Amino acid sequence: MDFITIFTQFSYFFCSLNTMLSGGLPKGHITELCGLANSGKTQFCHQLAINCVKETENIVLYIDTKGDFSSIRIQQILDSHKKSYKEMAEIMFRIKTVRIWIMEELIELLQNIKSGALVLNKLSLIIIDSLPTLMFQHLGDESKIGLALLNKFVNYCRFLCRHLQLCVVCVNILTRWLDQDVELEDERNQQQYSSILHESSYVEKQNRCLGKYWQQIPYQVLFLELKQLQDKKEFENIVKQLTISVLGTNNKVSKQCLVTLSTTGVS
Amino acid sequence: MSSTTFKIESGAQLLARLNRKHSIENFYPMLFGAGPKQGEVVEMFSEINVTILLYDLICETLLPVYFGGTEIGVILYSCNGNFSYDNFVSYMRYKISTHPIILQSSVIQNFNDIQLNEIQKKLLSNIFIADIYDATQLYTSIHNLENVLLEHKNISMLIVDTLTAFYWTEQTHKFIKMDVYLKNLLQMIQKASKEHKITIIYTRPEHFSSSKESIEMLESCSKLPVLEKVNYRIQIVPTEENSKFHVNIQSYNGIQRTQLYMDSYTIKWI
Repeated sequence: MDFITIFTQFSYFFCSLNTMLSGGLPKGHITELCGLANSGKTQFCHQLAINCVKETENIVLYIDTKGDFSSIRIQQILDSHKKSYKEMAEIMFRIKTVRIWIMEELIELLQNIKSGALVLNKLSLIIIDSLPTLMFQHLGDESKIGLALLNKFVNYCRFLCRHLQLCVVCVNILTRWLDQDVELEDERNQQQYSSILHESSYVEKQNRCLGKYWQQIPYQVLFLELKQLQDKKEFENIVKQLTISVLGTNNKVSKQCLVTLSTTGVS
Repeated sequence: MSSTTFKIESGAQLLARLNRKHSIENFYPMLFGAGPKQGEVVEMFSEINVTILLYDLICETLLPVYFGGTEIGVILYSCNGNFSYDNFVSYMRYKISTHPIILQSSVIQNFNDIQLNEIQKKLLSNIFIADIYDATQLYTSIHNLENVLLEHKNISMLIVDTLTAFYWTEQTHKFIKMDVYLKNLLQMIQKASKEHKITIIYTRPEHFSSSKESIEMLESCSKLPVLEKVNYRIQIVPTEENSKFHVNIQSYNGIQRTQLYMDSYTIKWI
């Protein structure tokens, strides 16, 4: 066994985010992308797919579970970066999209990649947007079949990550809860890591979905948060600011950086 | 008439008995005091990943005696995919290059990358890593453990990170209680390694327990190695301060509490 292999990391992003991630997304591991609804997760994934394939021969597998992957949006971003039609076609050809609606199909897809029944040469990144969409179908199921499927999915992802040296990005949703008279000790017990809004007797808490089993699965968790107050219009483009944070070892935000989201993509 | 009892011993048992394992006592006093003794079981649990602490434990185990280590072999069953070879190698290089022996020694001026590579190469030859991706592979690895131990006599420690990684794939119609599942797996490992008296360290997520009680209320630790029982239980609790953790250590003698600072490259005990 060779233990001295140094895994290189993808450098998908612009400088500040790359610096924050010590070079990019780590190969061989699962990364979670988490945020509230409408926080720019899908836009970020589109940009991630483009950045991964442009100027390289990489292939990205984009697994769309919500039906909102937009090739027009990809084209729009590329167009704004003055790419020629040929370059656009090359980039878009290397982003392979598949629409999946149930967890079993997702597992079958990964199983096919593992067994070699489906071969994607130079596959470097798998983006799953989003995982809770599939898992919520099993919510409240007493047979816990959802957890069994999630466990299988994680096992396949880990195998592919390690053996194909790729990176898997799973989009997760952050939910907001408003609780009355909740003590801090209770917050800790319920694995809730942040509270933003403190009023006289209400505390707003945010929760990563997918349950306790999932909490320790990702190697790295990135949080996306939309900065509402910073919205402004520049040359008819709506520019929004996103804060991207990395969770530290103690499940608290350890590093942060700011990016802008506009019609030209995330930059 | 006097009765005489005979014990039949297999060839493998004889070989295991003759290959006396190196002692690893006193190797990590912050957690185990004078222990752990041969054949003892250590359970580590937390709501965070404890991989960095495992890196440190493995380094201490592999380090040569003149570095304060135990110079024994370690086998790691990596079930959760968090063990990263490059991070481990970086951690090990940093630990060796900043070790007091190196820093205080007069040879520091001559200590270069070539020497560091040689030490590292020697240490890495004593670690055996099995990446495990499903329950079948885990059971196969456990059943094959005895063969591995017979082949590599210097292995004195098994680390399983995380022992419960495949629990949900094994639950179909009838659920096995989490504690029962854990004990069954532990028993299987203990039986497979019985003759070799290796130290077993396994990790589990904090929520993976049938009892939601605090560490004080969990089943007490056993004094001697016993089937299905743990001898040390270690809980890592994150604090509000980044990189700072409380550590609760339960053993036969009771509970001890300590603190540590942990980041990607260093562990500092307070």
